[in-house]
Amino acid sequence: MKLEGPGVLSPAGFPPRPGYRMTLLTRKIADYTYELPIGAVEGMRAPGIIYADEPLIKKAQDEGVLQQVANVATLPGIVKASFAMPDIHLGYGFAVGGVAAFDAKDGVISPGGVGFDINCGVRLLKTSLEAAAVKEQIPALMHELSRSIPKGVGGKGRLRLSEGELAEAVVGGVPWAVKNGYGEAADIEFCEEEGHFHGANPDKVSSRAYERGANQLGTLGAGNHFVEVQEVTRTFNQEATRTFGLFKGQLVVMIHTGSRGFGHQVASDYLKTMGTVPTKYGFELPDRQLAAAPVTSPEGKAYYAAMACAMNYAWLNRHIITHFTRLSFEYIFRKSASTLGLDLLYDIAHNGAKLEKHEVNGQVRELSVHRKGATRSFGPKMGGLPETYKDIGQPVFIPGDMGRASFVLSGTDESEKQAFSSTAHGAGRLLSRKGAKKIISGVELKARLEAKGITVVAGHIPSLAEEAPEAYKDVQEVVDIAEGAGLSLKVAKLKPLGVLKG
Amino acid sequence: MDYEVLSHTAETGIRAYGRDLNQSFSNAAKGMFYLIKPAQEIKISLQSSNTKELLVDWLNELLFRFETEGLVFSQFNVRISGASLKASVKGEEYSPEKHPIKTQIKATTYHNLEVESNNQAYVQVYFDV
Repeated sequence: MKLEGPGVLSPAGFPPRPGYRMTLLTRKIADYTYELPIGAVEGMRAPGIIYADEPLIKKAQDEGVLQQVANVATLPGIVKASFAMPDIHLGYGFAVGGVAAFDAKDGVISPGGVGFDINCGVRLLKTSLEAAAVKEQIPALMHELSRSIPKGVGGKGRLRLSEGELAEAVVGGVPWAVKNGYGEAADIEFCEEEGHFHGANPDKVSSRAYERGANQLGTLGAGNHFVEVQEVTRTFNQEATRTFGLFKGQLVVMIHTGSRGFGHQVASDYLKTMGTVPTKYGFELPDRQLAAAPVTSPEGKAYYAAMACAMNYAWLNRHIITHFTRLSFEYIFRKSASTLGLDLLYDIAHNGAKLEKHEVNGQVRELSVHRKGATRSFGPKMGGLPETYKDIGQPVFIPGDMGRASFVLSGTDESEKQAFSSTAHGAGRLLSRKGAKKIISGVELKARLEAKGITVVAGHIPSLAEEAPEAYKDVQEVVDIAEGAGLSLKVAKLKPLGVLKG
Repeated sequence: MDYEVLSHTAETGIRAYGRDLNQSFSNAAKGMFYLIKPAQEIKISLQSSNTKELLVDWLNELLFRFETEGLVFSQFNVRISGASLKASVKGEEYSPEKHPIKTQIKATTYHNLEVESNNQAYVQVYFDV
């Protein structure tokens, strides 16, 4: 007899091994909130909490996603619950859309809980331009952005850094780049962690990661990464809209990418070496991909220090791309970036493990908070935000597919009570990449988008189909659930006018 | 060995091998193109704790070489013994015009990894893309 399904390692035997599937039945505990009780799989130390509506929870049941949520709950030191955001879908180890916090003293840190693209994230640049007034120039702008931002596989960056310079850069983060002439000093404040993740130790990064990362700084990459020129088509909350400096009809630029080969290599390196670590510290993994080490162990500390470098690499990457974006705007509109109002609204990470302080049962505890395909959603009470946003909460960006829309939301205090100040990160895939290609070809998709007035520039047109709108859930449903559950509040809706893909 | 290059004062030649004439013809063509433009050859040697880990290490190694040395590989000769591997891999320089990339692979995962070496051997692996 062969048992199937992710995480199932052995027939029941006795005692069953962690991750052995008992019964994956959820129960509704509040609006948009479902619980997967302890006991759903063997070895759970906390329940699973899934933010979803009925269709979504049914779908999760089919996909084996719940098994992944439950598997995470078997890891040592997990606090409160293994959470799943409304855009949850099947991932590797952790589900995409997974949030889990582990005690900083007794808990673990897991490279599998961060993912391969460390600090994959999103930033939004504002402009003072009215989209309607510049529509004619969008194709030229997209062409110029495509010329100035290296993209695709093997796309080499325009910066040449020695290994020593790169080591300095990944410790210094965005402030390092500003000091070296890239971007504006004001950008620093509007980056999560001020674009500078503390605890980075360049000696914990392999020479392979430096080799892979050496010529990829300031490159977009491929897959679901993009630069989009968008229009604010709807605003929901006047005070938040004003505070964030947004207005209806405004042209904005969204940048979505991560730490490129540098981060992928850090993740691969530590996933490999952590394979035997659980045995050493006396716990068992339900899934090899969930490799983890105690936060306080030498292995855990080394990963944290290397991951911190990759976090900084990703912020630098988006920062350098911002620099090229500003130059492209200046070239097309013949005005300076500051005259064009190309200011950073905010930059958020949606893959990472951070040491944060959260209140649990009336006690403030230091936790290792893993967000894999999930966004921090600090409300006004959490602090650590730019002065301008302190009464509203942090900006949150939820990119949707390239045919429909993306959203700006604001963080809430309720999300702190619920899920360690976390919310969704995207639309969430509905179809596999292969499945999407069966529905539409890249050429057809490009033509269809262009008929809707969206300029599309892509390094490889056939691959475009993998990112077809049909491949994703409607992002509107995701943000509605996130708002319904109190995780974040809608501020503005953005529609794409120009899309640049790798 | 697929073929060997024969040295001759005025011409250059190859002796191509194969299990049958079909394969020898294929290898003769391969040899001729080697003379026109030699493939780049690299040697890879890996040691892991078991064959599953070895499979992930092997594919990640090739991904690393692709990204850092700019080589796309098309020929693989692999010898596995226990949990160690020796391979000779041939490829050519990556050029975006010539090699449009279909999928960017970030890394090889351990998700639902399978290695079956008995009877009908197969391996199964998922990539993060």
